[in-house]
Amino acid sequence: MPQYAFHIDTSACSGCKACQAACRDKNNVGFDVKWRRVYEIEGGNWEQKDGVFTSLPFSYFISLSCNNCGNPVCVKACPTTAMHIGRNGITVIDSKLCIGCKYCEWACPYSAPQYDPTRKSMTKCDLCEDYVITGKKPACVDACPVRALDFGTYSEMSEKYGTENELHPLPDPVSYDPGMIIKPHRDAARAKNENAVVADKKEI
Amino acid sequence: MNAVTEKTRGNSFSRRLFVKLSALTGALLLRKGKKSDDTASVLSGYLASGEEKIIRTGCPAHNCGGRCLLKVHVRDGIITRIETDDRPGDDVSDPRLRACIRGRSYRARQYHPDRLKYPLKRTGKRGEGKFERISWDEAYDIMHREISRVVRQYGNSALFIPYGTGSYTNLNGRWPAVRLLNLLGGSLGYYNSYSWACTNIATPYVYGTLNTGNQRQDWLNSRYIILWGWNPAEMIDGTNSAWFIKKAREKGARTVCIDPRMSMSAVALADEWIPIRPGTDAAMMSAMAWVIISEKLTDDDFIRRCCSGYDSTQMPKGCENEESYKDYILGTRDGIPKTPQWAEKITAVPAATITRIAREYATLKPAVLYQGYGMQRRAYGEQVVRAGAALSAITGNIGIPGGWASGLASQAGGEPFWTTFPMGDNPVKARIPVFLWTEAIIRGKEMGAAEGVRGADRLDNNIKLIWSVASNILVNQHSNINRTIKIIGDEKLVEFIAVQDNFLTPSAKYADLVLPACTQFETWGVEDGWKYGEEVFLTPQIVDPPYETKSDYRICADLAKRFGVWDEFTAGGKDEKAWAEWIINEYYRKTRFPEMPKFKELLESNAGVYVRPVSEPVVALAAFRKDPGKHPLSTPTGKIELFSKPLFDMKQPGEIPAVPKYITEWESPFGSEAEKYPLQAIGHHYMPRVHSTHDNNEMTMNAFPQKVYINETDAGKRNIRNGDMVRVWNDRGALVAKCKVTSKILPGVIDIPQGAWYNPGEDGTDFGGNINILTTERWTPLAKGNPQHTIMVQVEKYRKG
Amino acid sequence: MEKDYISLVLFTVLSQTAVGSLILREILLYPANNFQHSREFRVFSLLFTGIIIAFAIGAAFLHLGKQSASVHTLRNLRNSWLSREILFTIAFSLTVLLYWFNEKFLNLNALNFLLSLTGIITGAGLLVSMSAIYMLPAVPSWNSPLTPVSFFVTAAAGGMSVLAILYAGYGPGLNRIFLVILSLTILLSLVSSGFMVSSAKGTVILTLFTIRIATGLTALLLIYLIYFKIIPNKIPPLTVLLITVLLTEMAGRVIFFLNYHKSGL
Repeated sequence: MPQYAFHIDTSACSGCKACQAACRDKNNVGFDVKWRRVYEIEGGNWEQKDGVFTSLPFSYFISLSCNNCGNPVCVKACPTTAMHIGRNGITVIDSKLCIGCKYCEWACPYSAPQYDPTRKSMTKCDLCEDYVITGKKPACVDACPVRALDFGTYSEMSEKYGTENELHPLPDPVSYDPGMIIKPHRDAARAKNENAVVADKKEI
Repeated sequence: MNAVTEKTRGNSFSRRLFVKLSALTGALLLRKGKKSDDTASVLSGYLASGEEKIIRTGCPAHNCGGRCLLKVHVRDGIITRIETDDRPGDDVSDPRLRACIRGRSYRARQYHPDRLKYPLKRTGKRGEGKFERISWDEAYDIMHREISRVVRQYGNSALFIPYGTGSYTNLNGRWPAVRLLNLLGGSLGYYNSYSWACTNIATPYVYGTLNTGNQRQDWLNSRYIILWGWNPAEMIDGTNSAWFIKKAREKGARTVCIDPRMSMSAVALADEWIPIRPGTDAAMMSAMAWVIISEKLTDDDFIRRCCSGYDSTQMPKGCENEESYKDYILGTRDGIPKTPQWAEKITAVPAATITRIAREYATLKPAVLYQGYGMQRRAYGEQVVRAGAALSAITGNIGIPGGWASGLASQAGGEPFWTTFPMGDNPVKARIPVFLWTEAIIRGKEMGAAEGVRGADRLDNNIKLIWSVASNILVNQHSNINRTIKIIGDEKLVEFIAVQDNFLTPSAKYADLVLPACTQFETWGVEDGWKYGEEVFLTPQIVDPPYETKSDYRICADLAKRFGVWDEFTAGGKDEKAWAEWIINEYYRKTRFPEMPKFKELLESNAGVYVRPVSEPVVALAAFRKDPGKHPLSTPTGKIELFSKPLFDMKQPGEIPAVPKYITEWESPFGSEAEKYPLQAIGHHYMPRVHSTHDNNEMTMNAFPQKVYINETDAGKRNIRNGDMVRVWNDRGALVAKCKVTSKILPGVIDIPQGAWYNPGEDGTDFGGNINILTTERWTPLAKGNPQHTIMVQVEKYRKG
Repeated sequence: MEKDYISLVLFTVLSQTAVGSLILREILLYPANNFQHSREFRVFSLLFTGIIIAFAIGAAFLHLGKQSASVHTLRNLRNSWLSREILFTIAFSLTVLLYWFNEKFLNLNALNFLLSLTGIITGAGLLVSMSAIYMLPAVPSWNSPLTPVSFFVTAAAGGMSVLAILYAGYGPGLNRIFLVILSLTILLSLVSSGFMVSSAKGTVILTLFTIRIATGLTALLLIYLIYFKIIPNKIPPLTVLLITVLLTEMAGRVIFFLNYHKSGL
């Protein structure tokens, strides 16, 4: 089974959250849950000299859902096997088995699995499996007004976009093997040097 | 696995949860007789049963800056999913018209529990928000009685249908109401808009036209693009505008964003962000001109052939000895050369940066200087429009592929037609500047040319009846809310107010009569591009109007019956669908798109849209550039007027100079007002809303809550921390909102995204975070436009009591 | 961190206390002279441990979104530490139940030995698997040796406090060395959480830390007073001691859960 992958062009993402809205609409998830999350990275300081401002701040956005990792720690963590790699190679949740213990949420470095109190189950982006098996792209990808998201098998995506999967402040991808290829924003290196953090984390 | 269906828990659903769920699932209330505890069963029901139809249609049109294609899934008469354009291929000539968060979140608006359901009559004091349900019969009786009475007592010019863009297809919104009143003897007209009053008026003084924009695909031919106060990633400004900029960058264009805020566009579309003090753009533009002129980077041939008023050699007749554009820039008359050092102190942009940008713009040709509209919704918004156009002119970036003439920049070669619905002629000829409607209420009879009245020397009436259709201008979107509500709250001034809308907006609360309109999914409509675009959308009725709601057209048609003009109004019995057919077959096919499919064909194809691909983008003013003698502009000199004699003749050089100048604003960090109110406040167009539309949409607002954005430095001085509630005030009013402390805004500036619904507390403080509690009703000198971003305020941490 | 972590605070502290009490009981019971331990002590100690672990399991159930599906929790023993932890919890609880039944009704010595061994093994397994659960690479603030240290310390402090009551009520009286070890354990607990607090911020955490120090010091003071026989070595003061120790550990555990920070995001 091929591993699927998202391409995330953080150099072009404006943080408009059309992807998130498309996801919400398609998957009917409530506000307690965000299957696709848009993180705002913000940093840098102002310096004022004679009324003139220099030394500029920087910022970029990262839109993440489930990266369908090659080494899915969520699957390993789940006590019931509710979280499993499904028929189509996509990590999905069998809600009949799920006890809602949230352990997959802790284990996932991207916080992809989330507890939905209305469904009383963990829920997670399933890459719009129903779309993908018919050859369509996930709702979020086809929503992006600036075409900063793309989706396909890992080999298709890496051929098109390379294999970069590191970006501050995402966790070190090595042990997870995420299906995620990133184009870094011009400020990514600066953000790393200055250890910039996610803005308004609580609202994500 | 995602189609999780849980058994209904019926009554135990909390109201809150119910609202969320209903909003998200398109369930609900709206089906007559359904009880609220059916919500969850609808959730599981629609996933389980019913045949699904997919209808392609235009996204419900508001004044949002885009026109996009939706694929709407309908099951059992309920919209269950909203997808967007998935037409095959997605190239620059005919890109997919992808909807933004607002379109994708539309179900939460469509199935909002607060939708107006029945006609309402006011029971309390005006503005108190107390209403009782009445029948449509009674509502029509009241409308008929009041309109007839005011016409009898004062005349038709006392009627007014305000500016409003809450529903904005070629069939929905205020057009049918205007058509009806025109049949009844007319109503007071207006001209101009709240969006771009200054650029709308100032652009023709330079170019003699508003069509100064190339088709956007041409941006891919540019080498350098300045996004000056322009934020297409957020305010859209043409579906795909942001994507075209991205494509231009991929082709090697360098992009710079000049804006007080590090906007979404500054982050995603620009190579560089240059923060600038609001209201000082014309100073930076003048300094750029100084660099370009001093370093001889001007396109002299172009200036000689195509411009007028650049220097003393080309001054118009009768003005030979007046100050030319070059005189002003070099300071030959006023003794102030507009150097980068001069501008640095005003703009807060380092002189070296100004110099560099000027050089880049003048040498990396062809270049685009795109002016956003926020910087012209200011005290002297006319100046910045002309100053930007002057830069395009002196560098010769006009009339060439990859260039840009600046100004309003409506697209040349087939401009969009904002409204094609035939409204007929207005027998009342007098028109006011749109922003001055409150003046026309309190002293209409005194208003004349000085107040920008057109079509009559003087108004013969004060406004006595307002019929507001799809508009939140009465309270929410007009300047200085505390003043406005005093005026419209006085029943002796405006004697009758009817509001026709989807929700009980802050404006609707001031109505005597509320008429419930359906949404655009519930009736027919036709849309074309928003400023840009070569497409026509057919928006069929997809679901039934819920409860007793009716389309704007149907309400007017019913009312026409009362007035005995039904035949004329409906042009022999046309319903909404028949009008949509008329607009496509009899209008578009006979004007702009003769090749487009007929209505029936378009409808049956379920394409939702007709697009004419743009492979060779039209370049504005190209013929003029080639041969200005043969293709003169419609300015007095036939050329690009850097010096305008008509403006000179107005004899108000202080506020309406003949050449574009930087003028210190009436409220600014440079005046004494800054001691009391040291911060500039701007109100940018916010991603989750279209002006005030969608402010009650939980889906968009959950993603982008209303906040006051304040720089870390300013917050630190005031002991304000991220997430605190802050109070923002000036002499006109006060608001309270959550704040976001950020580095992404210039120190000394705060941003209060415009459009939040006014929600006053007992002492009049607004807890909705509406910037208009702080804005001024004063109008700009030339355009008589709204200066809503020119305000000074103070901020403190909010403490109850 | 989700809001209902309080149930996990209860579960971890109580289950660790239960395990600690059983293991310590076995350690103290066998090398020592059996006769010193009354039958009441043997039966009541197991009953006590059983009640505590029952409460712990109850709390754990509160944490679940869907209790009805909990039958599936043993399906991923191969990979999931949580699955293993649940297995150990069940095994440990059953062992305690059987043990108690045997001590109370059957009194088969051979079975006692077997159950004692099983109790120690499943209890230790529970502590180890619980530690492994929280040592997640995705949560660097938990992925440290402090996590198992704090769990074992809770087991020791809680277990000893439980046994102290039983000794006072039904046993041969309190050994002074026992009290010294308990006070050292509490000190270790306080010190180890100091490291945790240093990486966390916020007034809530500082408040919790204050509570923790206050209860911890109260516990130490009680031990001191008992040691010097200023107050009697009786059930009421020792119950207070147990409560203060549990409060100390729970406050520490709340800090632990509040200190849940994903790497980067």
